[in-house]
Amino acid sequence: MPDMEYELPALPYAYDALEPVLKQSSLKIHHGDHHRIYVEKLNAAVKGLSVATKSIEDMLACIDASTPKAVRNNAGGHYNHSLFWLCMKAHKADAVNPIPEGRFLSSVHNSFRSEEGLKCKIKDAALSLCGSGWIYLTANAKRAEICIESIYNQDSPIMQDVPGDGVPFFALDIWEHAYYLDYTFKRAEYIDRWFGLTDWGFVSDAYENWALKGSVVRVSRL
Amino acid sequence: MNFRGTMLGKILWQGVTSRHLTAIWSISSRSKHKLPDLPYDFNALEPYISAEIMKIHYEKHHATYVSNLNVAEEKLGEAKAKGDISAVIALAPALRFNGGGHINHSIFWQNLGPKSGEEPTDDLKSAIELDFGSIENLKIQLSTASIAVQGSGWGWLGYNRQSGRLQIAVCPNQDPLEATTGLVPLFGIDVWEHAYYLQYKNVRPDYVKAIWNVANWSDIASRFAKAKSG
Repeated sequence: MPDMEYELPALPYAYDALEPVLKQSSLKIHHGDHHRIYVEKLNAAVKGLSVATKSIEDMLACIDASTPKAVRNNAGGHYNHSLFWLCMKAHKADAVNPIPEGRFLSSVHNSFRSEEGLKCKIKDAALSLCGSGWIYLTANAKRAEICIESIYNQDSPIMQDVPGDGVPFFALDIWEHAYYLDYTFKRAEYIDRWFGLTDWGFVSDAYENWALKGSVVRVSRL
Repeated sequence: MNFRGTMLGKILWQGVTSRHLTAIWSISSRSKHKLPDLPYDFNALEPYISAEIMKIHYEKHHATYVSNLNVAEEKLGEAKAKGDISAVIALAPALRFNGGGHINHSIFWQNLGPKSGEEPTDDLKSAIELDFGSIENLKIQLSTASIAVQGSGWGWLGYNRQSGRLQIAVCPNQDPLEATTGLVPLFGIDVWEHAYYLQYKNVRPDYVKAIWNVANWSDIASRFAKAKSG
C-alpha cells in the first residue's frame, strides 16, 4: 500500500467565523501554524515506517508505549486538532446554543442532570488540568454513559497505552496556545465563552454514530 | 495541694495545654507564602521578554501558584489535625503543582536580569567547559532540551551533588527540579506557552534563543557556589 500523505484539513468555517470568542488572527496561528506543523512533522516522522500506510484514525489506535515520540505527539496533535475544529461552528452573537434532542442529550441528562451540569463538569476538569492537554467526552459500544477525560499533551484515549476505553467524540483544547492570545491567563473565561461555539449537532452525531458503535470518529476526508 | 494537683485541675490544665498547643501550631502553619519582589521593572528584559508577558507572568501566573499553595497548605494542616491520612495524600498533586510553580518562578525571576553582556567566569566557566566543552555547547544543549519539552515544563541546568558535575534535565509541568531529580537548580528556562506566547507565538525556539541575552550569570554562579559548598 502506498504511504499516506497527511494533510491539514480545511476549517469548516472562515477564520473570522468564531469571532468574537476566538479572533481571526488567533485561529490563523492555531490552524495555520500549530496544526500545520503537526501535519508536516507527522509526515516526516512516519517516512519508511509501516504505520505510514494507515489513516490517521487507524494510526492513533496503533500507538503504544513503543511508538517513537515524534510519531505519537504529531499524530495525536493532528487528530486532536482535526476533531477540535469539527466541534465548533460559526458563532451567532447572543444566540442560545442548546444541545439538540436525541440520544446524546438523554445521556447528558442521565449522567449530568442537565446541559449546565455537563458544562460545569467539563469546566472543572479543564481548570484542574495542570499543564497542557485536552478535555474529551468519551463513550463506547459497551458504555453509553458519557465520561469526561482529562488527558495531557497530545495523547488520546484511542492510544493503546492511555488509560480509558472510550472513543472521544468531543475535544476541547486546553493548551495555552488555544486561548492565550484571546484570554491570556483567564482559562475559565475561555471555557465559558467557548460553549457559545460548540457544535452540539456534530457532537451528538459523533456520539450516536461513532462512539456508541465503538468506531474512532473519522476526521479526515481521505 | 494546689488546684493543679487535684484531679479536676489536672484534667482542665491538660485540656487547655493541648488546645493551646494545637492553636499555636495552627497559627504557625498558617504563615503564608508570598510573591517575592521582582528585582527589576517589568520592561527590564525587553526586547527579549516583553513587559506585557512579565506583568502577566508575575502578577497572575506566579501569584496564583502562591495563593493556591497557601490554600493547599491550609487544607493540609486541617487534614493533619484530624489525622485524615487519605485527605493528606489527596493534597499531594496540588502541593506539587503549586509548590513547584512557586519554587520554579521564584528561581526564574532571579535567574534573569537586564542584558549585561556578561558571561560566566571563574569556577562556573571552568565547570561548564569541563562538562559541556564550552559555554556555546551548554547553550545549544540546554536550548535543544528546552525546545523539545512536550507540552508544558521547564529546561534546567542543574548541579549533581553526588558527581559534582553540571547536568541538563527537563521536568514536566511544574515539577520542581530538586524534589524530582535531586539536582540543585542553577538556571531554568520556563517553556510553558504563557512564558512566551504573546510575543513569540508558536516559535518557541526564538524565545529560547533570546532568553540567553537576559541570563543573570551572577545569580547562576552564586547558586553554583552554594550548591558546591552545601
